[in-house]
Formats: sequence, C-alpha cells, structure tokens
Amino acid sequence: MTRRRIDLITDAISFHGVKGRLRVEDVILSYVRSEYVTGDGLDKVLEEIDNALAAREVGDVPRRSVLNIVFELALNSVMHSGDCASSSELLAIGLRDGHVSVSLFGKGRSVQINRLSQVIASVKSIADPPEHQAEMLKRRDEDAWRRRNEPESESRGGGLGMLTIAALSSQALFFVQKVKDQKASFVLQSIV
Amino acid sequence: MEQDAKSQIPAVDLRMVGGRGYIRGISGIDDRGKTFDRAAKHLKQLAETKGEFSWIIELDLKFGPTTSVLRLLEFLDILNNISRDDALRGKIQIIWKVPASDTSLLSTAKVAKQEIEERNKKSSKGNSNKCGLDLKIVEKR
Repeated sequence: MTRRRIDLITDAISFHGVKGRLRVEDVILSYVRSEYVTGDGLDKVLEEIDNALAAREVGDVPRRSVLNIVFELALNSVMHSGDCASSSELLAIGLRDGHVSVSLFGKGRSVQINRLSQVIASVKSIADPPEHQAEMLKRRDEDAWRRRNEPESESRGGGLGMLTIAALSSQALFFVQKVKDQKASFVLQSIV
Repeated sequence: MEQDAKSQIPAVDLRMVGGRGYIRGISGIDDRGKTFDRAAKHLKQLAETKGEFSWIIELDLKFGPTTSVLRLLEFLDILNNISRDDALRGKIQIIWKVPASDTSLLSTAKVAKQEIEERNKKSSKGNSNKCGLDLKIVEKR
C-alpha cells in the first residue's frame, strides 16, 4: 500500500472514531470508489480479493461471502451515490484473528445516508446473529420473488442488497454516520 | 440472441440450435439484469414462432447480485409462463449451476424453484395439461 493510501485509511478511521473496529495494520487491500465502479475495475478488485484471501487460507464459503458483500457495496455505490461521493470513498478489506472485515467509508447526501441507516436498522430487526442467516436469506428471496417485475429505482435494490450483506456477515452490521459542514459520511462494516 | 462476454456482462447463446442454449458469466454493474430482460423477450418470440420445441438452457452465473437477480427471477417466471401456455407445445428445462460455496445464490435458486413449483401445483388444479418450467439446480464444487 502506498503512504498516501495508508494516510487515507488512518484519517478515515480516526475521523469516524472506529479505531477499535479496524486497525490500519489489519487492512490487506483497499480501494477508492473509482477503482470499483466500472466493470473492468470491479472484475479486477474481485479477483484481487479472492486471491489475497485464498493465499491467507480463508475458506471457500467465507471468501465467496466477502466477494458477494463487495459486489453489493459496489452496486449500491453505483446506484445510490453520485456526484457527492468523491474519490475519497474508501473500501477496506481487513483480516484479524481469522475474520475478514469489509469496511466502506462512504459519503453522500444526508437524506441518502439517513435512509441507509433506516434500512440497516430494519434489516437488523429481522434476526440476531449467529442464528440469522437462514431467516434473512429466506426473507430476502421471498421479497425478491414478489418484487421481481418492479422497474429499477433508487428505492428498490438497497434493502435487498443490505439484507444480503447482513445475512452473509457473522456479526450484526456496524454503522455510524457523521455530519460535518453540511456533508454526511458513514462507515458500514461487515465481519464475515 | 447471441452476446459475447464482457466485464460484468454475461455470454449468451439463445439461438437454441439443437434445442440448447446458455447464459454464462456475470450480470453485474454494466448489465444489472438487462440481459435477462432481452433473453426473455427473445425466447418468447422464438417460442411463438416455433410452436413446438424442447429447450435446455444452461444458466452458469459467477455471481448473483440482487439487482440482477430480480431480473433473473422475472426471466424464470416468463419462461414458466411460456412452458405453461396451452397454445404452445413447448418444454423448457433450466439447468442452473451454482457455486456450492455461494450460500446467497443457492438460497435464491432454491426459493425460486419452490415458488415456481408451488405456483404450478396450484394452477395444475385447473384445466392446463402443461407442467411448467423444469428448474434443475446443480451445485458446482
């Protein structure tokens, strides 16, 4: 990792006060938004993460879960964050005590981030880890089947995507938001 | 319908030569399920033109992000309706290959199969002699 990237991660952790949840030394890969919001870019990112986790002997199922979570976050970023999301939006993949963490430091309009916060709260209320996965996936799939012919919209995919991320995580999703100078930012962390 | 694979866009061959076709790869951020919409439209037209057919379509997707999955479920529902259409004399089998390690996509495939079977069971109490879409899930190891 470059010095600049390490500084970016350090600043993001410090700004959001999440030193207890992510240490710079645990980060094995990191990406800014422009690196994962294009087709070629996302292909490369997924391959890099898969290879890095395989090299660290992370099993097939958790590795695949991490890739699915990154995929959902990238899609969410493409669909829901626009001009407000600068290149400083950051995705960090960490490994600590055998658990992979996926942390997204995002930016956006307050209204979008408030909505994300509500979606996460709603998802969390469905079931508590560790016995949450089957219930959440069932809920997601039945909901997806009911909504299969709805047109694509800003409000449609987010809930199902977040349900997928929560289901594939081994712990409850962690989410904090901050507002500074009319701009809002957040950290969303999944531990697989 | 033919389509070459590109990053985040799946490869497609649904000309149904010899009754077989496929969709393989990733319907990701550059596609977001649009391939499934086009494929459904194409197969509906082809079914109406042919009148009699027996198709096997392989679905081999590397990932199943939710945005694309919604379109995929609609695609399966449309194929089920084609299979059940009494005016057509057609049979469709989908062989859906899912990575065994993909808990998320496996769940989606199983729920889709269940929903289609339940729907067909309910409507088979009517006059239709058709069984509907045959959806087979194969776990890839």
